[in-house]
Amino acid sequence: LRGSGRIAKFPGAHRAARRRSAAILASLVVLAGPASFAACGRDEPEAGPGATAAPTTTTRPAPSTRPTRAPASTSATTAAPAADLDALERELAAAKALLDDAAPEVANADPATGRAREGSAP
Amino acid sequence: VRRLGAVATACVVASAVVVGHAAGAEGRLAAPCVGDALKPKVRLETSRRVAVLGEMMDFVGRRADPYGLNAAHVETLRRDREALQTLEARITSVCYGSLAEFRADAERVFVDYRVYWLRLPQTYGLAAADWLAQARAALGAAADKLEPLAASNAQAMTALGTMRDRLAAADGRLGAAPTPAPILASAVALRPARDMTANDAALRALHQALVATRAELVAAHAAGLEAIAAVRAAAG
Repeated sequence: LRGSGRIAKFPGAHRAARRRSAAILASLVVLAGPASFAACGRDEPEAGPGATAAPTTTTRPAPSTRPTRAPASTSATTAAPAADLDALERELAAAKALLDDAAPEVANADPATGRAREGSAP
Repeated sequence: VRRLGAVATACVVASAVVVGHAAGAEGRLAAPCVGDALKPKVRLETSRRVAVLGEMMDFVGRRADPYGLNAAHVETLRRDREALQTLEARITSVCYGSLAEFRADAERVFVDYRVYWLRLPQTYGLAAADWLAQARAALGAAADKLEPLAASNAQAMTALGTMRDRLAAADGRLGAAPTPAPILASAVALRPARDMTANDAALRALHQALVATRAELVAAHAAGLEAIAAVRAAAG
C-alpha cells in the first residue's frame, strides 16, 4: 500500500493496513513471547496481554508529558509587580505630558518678550 | 459787480467777527483738540490690552491653582481691565488742550498697567508653575509607589534616590505646593512701575526658576523610568 501511494489518497485504507499490521504484530508477540520481542532492540513499550488488543500505536503524548503551567503562587507574584510597573509607567507618562504642556508657558514667562511688545505712548 | 463784491466782503468780515466772538465767549470750543490724530493709535493699544487682560483672566481662571495664587491674580487682572476701559473712554471723550495733557493720559495706558511687560509674564509664570506643580505631584506619587517595588533592587533604589533628589530640588526652587517659594509669590505680587528695572529682574529670576524646575522634573521622570526598568530587569 505504501509503495502504491494509496496511503495518502485513501486514509481509510491506511488505517486498515495499520490495523492489520498491529494484529500481525500482536500475534507475533504472543507466539514469540515478550522477552524475545524485547530482544529485537525495538524501543516499544513492553506489551502485555491488554496491549495486544490495542488497535493502534499512536504517539500522542500521555497526559503526564504535556507542558504544565507554572505553580499558581509563582504566577501571581510575577504578575502583580508587572501590572504595578505598567501602572507606574502610565503615571510617569502623564507627568511627562504635564511637563510638555508647561514648556511653552515657561518660555512665555520670559519678560523679554513682553518688554519688546509693551512699546510706549505716541 | 462792485456792489456785490462789497456786500460779500462785508458778509465775510461780519461772520468772522461773530465766530471770533463766540469762540472767545466759550473758551476753546472752536479750537482743534490736541492729540486727536493720535487717539486712534492709543485706543487701539488700549483695546488690545483690554482684550489680552480678558484672555489672561480666562487662562488663569481655568487652572488647578495648586499654590492658591490664581484668584488674587485674576482679581488684579479684572481691576486692570476695568481701569483701562475707563481710561480708554476718557481718552476718547476728552478734548485735550495741550500735548502734555494728552501724553499724560496716553502714557498711563503703557506705564500704569504694563500689560505685556508685567502682567503677561506673571500670568504665564503662574500657569507654568501650575503645570509644574501638578507634574511634581504626579512624580512624587509615582516615586512613593515605586519604593516598595524597588526595595530589594540596588540599581532601582539608586535611580529612585536620584528621582527623589530631583523632586526635592524642584521643591526648593518654586516651593512645594501649596506653599509657594518667595520667588514665585513675590513675582506674582509685583506692581506696574515706570522704572521696571527691579520688576524685570524679579520676573527674569522667576523665569529662570521655572526653567530649572522643569529641568529637575524631567530628570526625575527619567530616573523614575530607569528605576522601573531595573525592577523589570530583575523580575526577568
